[in-house]
Amino acid sequence: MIEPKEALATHASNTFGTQSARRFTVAQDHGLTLTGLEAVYDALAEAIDQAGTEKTELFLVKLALLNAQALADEHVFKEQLQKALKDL
Amino acid sequence: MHNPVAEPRRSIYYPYRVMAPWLPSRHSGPQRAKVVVGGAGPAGLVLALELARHGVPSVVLESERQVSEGSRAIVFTRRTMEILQQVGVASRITAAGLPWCYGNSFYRGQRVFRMENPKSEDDRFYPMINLQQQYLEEYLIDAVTEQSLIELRWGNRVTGVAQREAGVLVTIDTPDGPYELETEWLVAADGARSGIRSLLGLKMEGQSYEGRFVIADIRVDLPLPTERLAFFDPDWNPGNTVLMHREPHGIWRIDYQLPAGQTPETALEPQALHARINAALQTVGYGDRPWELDWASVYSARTLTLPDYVHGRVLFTGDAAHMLPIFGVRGANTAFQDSQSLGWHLAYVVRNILSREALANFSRERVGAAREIIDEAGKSTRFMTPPTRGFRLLRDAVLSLSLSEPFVSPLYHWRTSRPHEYTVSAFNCQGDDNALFQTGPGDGAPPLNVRLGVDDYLLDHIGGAFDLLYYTGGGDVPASLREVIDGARQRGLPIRVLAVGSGHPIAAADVSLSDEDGRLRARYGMESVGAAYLFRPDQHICARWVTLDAARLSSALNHILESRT
Repeated sequence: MIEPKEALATHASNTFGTQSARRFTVAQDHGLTLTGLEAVYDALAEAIDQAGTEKTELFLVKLALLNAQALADEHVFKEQLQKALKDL
Repeated sequence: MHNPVAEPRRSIYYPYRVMAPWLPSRHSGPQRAKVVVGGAGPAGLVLALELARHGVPSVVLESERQVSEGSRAIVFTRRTMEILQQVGVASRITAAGLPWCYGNSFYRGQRVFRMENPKSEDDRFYPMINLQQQYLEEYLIDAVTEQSLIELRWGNRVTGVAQREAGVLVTIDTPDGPYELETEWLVAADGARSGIRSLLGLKMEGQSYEGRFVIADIRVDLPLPTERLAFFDPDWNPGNTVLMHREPHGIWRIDYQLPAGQTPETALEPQALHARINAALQTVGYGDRPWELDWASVYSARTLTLPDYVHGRVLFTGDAAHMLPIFGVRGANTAFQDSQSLGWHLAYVVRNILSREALANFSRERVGAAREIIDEAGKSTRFMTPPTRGFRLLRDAVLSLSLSEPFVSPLYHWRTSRPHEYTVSAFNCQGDDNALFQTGPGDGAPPLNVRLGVDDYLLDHIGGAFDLLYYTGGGDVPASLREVIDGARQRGLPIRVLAVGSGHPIAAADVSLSDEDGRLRARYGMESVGAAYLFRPDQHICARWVTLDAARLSSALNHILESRT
């Protein structure tokens, strides 16, 4: 079984490996550091467990709205919706 | 044979009166009318009063012999009051109604949103006023009775509509049998279940929502202010919404959503009704108060409209034209705007001031308004009665967030009915200075009221004809403008001049407004002498100029008149 952090690292390299170096740099500039991403990963997983099975969806929707408010960009949010809908 | 109920409806606060039916056997000879209005509800009565104001006679046919059953529409907006002022009943509503400015939304015992809409000093009327529809209809009927151009026929039901080239042949059933009435124009103002719409086989477009609400009116003594109360997801009705409004005569309106799967029939059974009303009273902290039921009914939210309100010589107004959700008080309040608009458009066509094209403009303007309302009301409806799992999750997430995150609270605010801006109206002037104004209502917009003095407001002076508001700076209305206005009058256009900026009457002006403190000019952005606004007969703006001259006024008035045949 792959550890979560490893899985993420693998996924990240797959995603960005085929992109140009420049795009990768831009994404890094505006995104989380790997350490930060790992911290988010763990915190989100633990919060989902804390919310419990019945309240997971409600919790995630609240989180999405809070993030959208922090993002303050409805267009980027809609792009993210499309990205998240891929390969479900 | 049409036999409407001859017994007064039952009510614990409203004394119903049964009117004598109009019987064809007592009126010999062929029956003809300029305009026939089907339906004596708010839409039909306001239309008939507007037509009469513009000099056009009408016959109003009402299937029943008394005013509406139950309180129905109870919240009237400021724009509605401004329209009702035009037909002479606003002061009676002000005297009888309960005005209000604030709304409160509660979730888990906490007030999570407060809508504040205080009355502006420049407005004659409050943002909202509560009054039962029976009283409103009674006042309108009294006004109609005093109006010699309107004949109101009780107990007359439209059963047939045959369109001819020059008019419509209407078949009407009465308590002593049917008769026929020829008319140039038939207006369907016969409500959401419009019989005339059915007779024409017309279909509405849009959506129906599954959520159903019970409306119950009870008499109960609650020491609470007149403010809207909304409770989301109360313990006794999980996932659903409860609304409360104060009405005159010690009556409270309680609206609550039916749990999924409950039928309207079981919801209205006395036991179910009593349990839920008790629970609602418990929610506001007065579960021990005795109460008495007056009326209860069930409704569901729909966002539907006819795509066109003109079908040959049959015209549609109010709920007969569209069905709108009541969240945001959009039913009757939209109907008044429809009928005010149809009133002058139709009157000017009947009087041959404008061509029939004007009716197409009425339809475009009001269908546009209905579609705008449907768009806005759809948002409210999706919040109040989420149609899918996704919408329910989002609504529940907002409820939960609202306890600690104020940024979501405005989502509780279902936008209330507001007048539509006729931005694409055929009557909007093309060559004016609309875009150059820094403030004030633009072309197509509803008017802004202005306090001129004690018990004196701008809108007291505007409406019923085209009105030119002109800043003279204390001087006269220029002779060149007077010539253009006289010319338009000679061509049949009813137009009046309101001179701004002079304390004394001005010979060429119908009204002089001194505007000593410059309040009117400031609110309308009229900066220099010669600034002007042109209002339509429904008080909406159709042109405005930074500096008006004769050539541009002439062009604007020609634009209005040019559609004439």
